[in-house]
Amino acid sequence: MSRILAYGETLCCAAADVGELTWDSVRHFGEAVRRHKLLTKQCLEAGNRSLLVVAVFGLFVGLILVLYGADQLQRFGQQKFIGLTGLAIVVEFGPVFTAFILAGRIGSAYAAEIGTMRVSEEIDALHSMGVNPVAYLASPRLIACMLLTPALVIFADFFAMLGGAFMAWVSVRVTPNQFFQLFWQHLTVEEMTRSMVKAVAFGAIIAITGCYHGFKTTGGAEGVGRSTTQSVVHSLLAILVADYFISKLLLAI
Amino acid sequence: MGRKVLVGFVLLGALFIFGLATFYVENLQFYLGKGYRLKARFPIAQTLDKGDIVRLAGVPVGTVEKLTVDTELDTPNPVEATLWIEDQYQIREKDVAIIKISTLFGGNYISIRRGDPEAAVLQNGDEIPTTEVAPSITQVIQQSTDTMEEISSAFEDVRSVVDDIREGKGALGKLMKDDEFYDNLNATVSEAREAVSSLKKASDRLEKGEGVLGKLLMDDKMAQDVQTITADARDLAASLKSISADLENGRGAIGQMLKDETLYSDLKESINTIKETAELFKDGKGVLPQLLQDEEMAADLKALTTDARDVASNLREVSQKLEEGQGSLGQLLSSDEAYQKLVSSLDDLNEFTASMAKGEGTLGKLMKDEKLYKQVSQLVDDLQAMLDTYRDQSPVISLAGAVFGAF
Repeated sequence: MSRILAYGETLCCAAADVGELTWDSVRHFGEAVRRHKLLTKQCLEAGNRSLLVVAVFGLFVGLILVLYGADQLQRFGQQKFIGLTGLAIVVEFGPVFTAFILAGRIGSAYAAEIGTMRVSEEIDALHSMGVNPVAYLASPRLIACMLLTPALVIFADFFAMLGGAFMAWVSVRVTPNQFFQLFWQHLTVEEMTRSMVKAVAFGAIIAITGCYHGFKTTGGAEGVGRSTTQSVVHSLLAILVADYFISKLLLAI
Repeated sequence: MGRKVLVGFVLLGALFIFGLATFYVENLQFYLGKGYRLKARFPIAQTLDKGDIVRLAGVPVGTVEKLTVDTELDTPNPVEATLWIEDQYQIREKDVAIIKISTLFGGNYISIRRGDPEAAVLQNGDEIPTTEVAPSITQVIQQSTDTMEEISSAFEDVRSVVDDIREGKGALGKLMKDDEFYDNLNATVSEAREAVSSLKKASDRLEKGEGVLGKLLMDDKMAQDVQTITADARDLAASLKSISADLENGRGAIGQMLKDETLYSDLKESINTIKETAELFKDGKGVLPQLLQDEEMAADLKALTTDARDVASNLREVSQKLEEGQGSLGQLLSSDEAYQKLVSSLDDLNEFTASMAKGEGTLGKLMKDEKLYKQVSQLVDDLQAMLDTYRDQSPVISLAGAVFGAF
């Protein structure tokens, strides 16, 4: 019983820390914007350097989805509707898989970077210099992730659609024209909005999880590695859980 | 530490409640706005569920907030649905709430069909009076199946007809197979076309008022005449009706004939008599049938006729002579002297009869003397017997005599 209580206490403390970190980060958005060079650097780090991996990832997601989707639809003779796979990419697969990629690449980097600063007492040095470490480290990262995750999702969607159209043409002889025509016929602004809202939320989750584990790093290099791993695992879990609830809420609205 | 735990607990609790709420929230957009609630009662809810959309003219205007069912057996519409409608949309008394199928895969929604636009607007808590339930997918499938069976049956009939045609049965089959039939039909069609052409001409003539029928149709005078004839016919019918009434009542000769049994029996008797007479004729019994049937008698009759003609000629000659005053009778007719002589003779005759009455002379004695009378009577009887014998022996002569006597 005491162990359960101990786990509960740890969980509640972690939740309070995450809440506090999130609130502090948001509170210092203005400070982060004023330090625009730092913000730009984070944006380049999160955005530009992720383009290739996101493009390749998106392309193959499109190929795989259409490959299986076409196979299933062909059983019912409805392969002409393969263009509707694009809606699944835009609404669900684009934001979620892009967030997975960013969690692996950016979230882990944040945890490692800040964790290293924590174990090397650089964060304490910032404190001693009168610099708020959350405003200096977490806020720009949070803004960069929240801004660039939607952009990367659109980029991933684009490549996924290209891959999907190519696979539709190759597998079930549905021309790219037919594929995109059906896709644009059924794509609505509401669905695009849902996709973007998810992307912003996932970006925030990635940044906060990475920063939280970075700030909580203890135990030297080993601790940095552990924090990095935990950051990725917790980010992925949080993204999936949040995906469900956000989707449910957005569909209800 | 305690404050931190509490903050974390509250945060986790808030997230939990938010997550839990998402399981129960449907069509949140309707709950976020302002609206009012209406009730609608249905006989069956089908698969309608809480949170399903309410559409007005296809536009989502609300949601099904609550569904309850009344367990009373005699309630015609036991299902009560509470509908949440956005404030900006007005539902009126004459509008109809219909449960419809969303998709072929199931699901329902409530469609509001507009009724009278002048009807009163329903307020919060009011009930939509008129409701309907569209057929379910199962019913639609059942109806489709029935329809398909009927179509299939119809196709069977069509196939049978086609087979008959293919085998050359019936008019259509013969038309397809039999050239002669086709030629006949073709000829008939040509004749029909000509007939139609003739009819067209006739109708043109009628339109122009030509001919009797045309005049009848177009001429007002003739129409009046026809009207008069009709009136006369009506009168005639009335008269006939009156006559029939008289006949029915047994008035008049024919009426009595119809009604009076005695007359009928008399008539029947007369007919029987005629029949018997006809049979006599047929059998050749009696004088007249023999006259008609016996060739020998006909020859005699012919000879008799010739004789009669000769007698007539003689009579004409005699009458001519009488006219010319030839002979005794002629002189009697034309000469006064002869007349005087005749008067004198009659006077002598008077004297003679007076003497006879007195029983003078032979004839007087014949009249007065009983004995002489008996003798003469005996003589007459003998003479009669002799004449009968003669008549039996010669009937033809007797008949000729009779005919001659007629002339």
